[in-house]
Amino acid sequence: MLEKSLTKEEWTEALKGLQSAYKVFVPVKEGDFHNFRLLKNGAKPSFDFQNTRLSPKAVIFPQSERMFEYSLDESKEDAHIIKETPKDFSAQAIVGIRPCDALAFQLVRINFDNPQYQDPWWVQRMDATTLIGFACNDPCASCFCTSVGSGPFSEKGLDALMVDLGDRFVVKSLTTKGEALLKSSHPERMQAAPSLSRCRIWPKPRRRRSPPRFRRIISRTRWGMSCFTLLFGRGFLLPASTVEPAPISARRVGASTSRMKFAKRKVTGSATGMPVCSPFSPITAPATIPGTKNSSG
Amino acid sequence: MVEYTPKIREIARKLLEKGTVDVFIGYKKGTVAMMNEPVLIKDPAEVDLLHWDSHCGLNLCNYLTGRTDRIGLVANGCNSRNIVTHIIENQIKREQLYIVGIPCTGIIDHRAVKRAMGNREIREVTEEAESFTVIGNGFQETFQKKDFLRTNCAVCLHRNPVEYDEMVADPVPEQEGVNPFKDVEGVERKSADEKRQFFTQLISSCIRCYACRNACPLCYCPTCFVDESRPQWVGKSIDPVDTMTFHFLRAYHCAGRCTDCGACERVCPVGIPVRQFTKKLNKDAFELFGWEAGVRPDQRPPLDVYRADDYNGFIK
Repeated sequence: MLEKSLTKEEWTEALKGLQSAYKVFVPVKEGDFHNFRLLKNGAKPSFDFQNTRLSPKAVIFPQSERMFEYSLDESKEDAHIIKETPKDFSAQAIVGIRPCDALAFQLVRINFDNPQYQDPWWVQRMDATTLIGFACNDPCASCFCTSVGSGPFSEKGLDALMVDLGDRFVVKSLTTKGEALLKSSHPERMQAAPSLSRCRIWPKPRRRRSPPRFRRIISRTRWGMSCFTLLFGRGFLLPASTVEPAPISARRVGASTSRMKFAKRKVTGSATGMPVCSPFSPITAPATIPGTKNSSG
Repeated sequence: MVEYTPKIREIARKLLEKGTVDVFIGYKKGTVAMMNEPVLIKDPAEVDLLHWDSHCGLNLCNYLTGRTDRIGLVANGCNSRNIVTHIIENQIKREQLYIVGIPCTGIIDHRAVKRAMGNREIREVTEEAESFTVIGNGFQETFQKKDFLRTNCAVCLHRNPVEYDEMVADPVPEQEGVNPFKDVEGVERKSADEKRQFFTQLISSCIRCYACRNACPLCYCPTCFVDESRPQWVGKSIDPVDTMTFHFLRAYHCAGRCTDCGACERVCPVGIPVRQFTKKLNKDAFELFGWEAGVRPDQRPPLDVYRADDYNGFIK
């Protein structure tokens, strides 16, 4: 765990420094309300709020986004071929998220990241995101976070938690992801954030490990060592802490593939003129597709 | 206006006990400061819930559409005009209604009050005759109501109800010398590009929650055009083109019907001045047809009238 105490000016400078390694989303005052916006030239972070008007849900799960693309230009080789729209899953940080909003992501996870189904875009965005919480010193009279499993200083679902002490912020890391961000945010030691694949994601990934007693017995005998190393590889007998989780891209390859399988299906016209998917024929699109704007976007 | 409350309760009790009405629709004090809620009362023992002050900003006419029972309800100037519009559009019959008229001196803009208090959280607002006091954790401040009126109330020309069965107090003097369309004239002076920019900026924060539509008593279609999917008239995304199509189409559906009650603006969670869309059409209806919505119960609105002597050639 890493703790840092920074004046508010130092923190603002540190956030600017983070931009080299992360897309940084911060609360920005717009008219009467605060909202999360990408920190770039001109956007001034403001932590002087009770609650933002909207939660930063859209950073992970946008209200609408382009899913597929195709071209109607017959001269192109890939005309009518529906392709997945390239997406940016680079590292990003939401700084100043309230603990209740952070826990809400874990509730969304129940639907989007479970043993039966992993939404590839949601999971990749979530994995690439570091959540820096902002504790509520003065919760609203109408807040109900304590009734739904969260709280003004709750650490659930967060990678780090910052607390306003008046003239300065104290920031405490809660996960390796949060620690990596804090290390790279140090104003004196600007450095790129480490590869996220080396960071422990929240919740902690399950590791395959043998029962400790069984492992101890077989590691004491040379025969046991040779046999199990041959069968399962050396990693089986190493202490669990030295087994690195696979990179994000490798872990999620199954989910991405299922999305691509969908893209390879044929699109034919339905009775209503809307394209429908048929799994039996190669992909082609009708010459004219109603609602071109929506079809491409 | 808080002094109207005992009289409203007395009338409601009388109506319910005598059986003149089956239900009485009014406001009750909300759990959050400055947020009074609509309430439907059927039991005379519950009339003490009824409340009236300068925070009754929602339009009760929403609760009349298609009802078949006998209804008593409170109505200030704009709400009563919406009742008349409902009667004209055959959504309710006049015989079903017992209208308790409220001479209104304006509703307070809760956002303006919050703005004045900065980040301090408001716990309670109490109202005196022409002033109100804002109370929070460790502070208490008093303001004059006239400085915090909603923009539609500040330029209102119909404070007293146009249709009622009983008034709770004597009519208040109507405002004189106000120009309700001053801001529209400002927009009219802009070039086409500036207007596009103005409206694009206006709706940039819209999240398509449809609170404006739901709060509007004119939006009573069984299926709204934005909810249709076959055919889909308008995209459901927050793309500026889709959002602008929604707002413009909704405004045109309200042409010659909007009473400028301000409910749409009050409920917008992101603070879009929605009335900027509808007010231009109110101005056109007034300038082209001399029509103010909901003021004349005995006349058909200009957009559903055919006249053989119409001065427009295309209609013949």
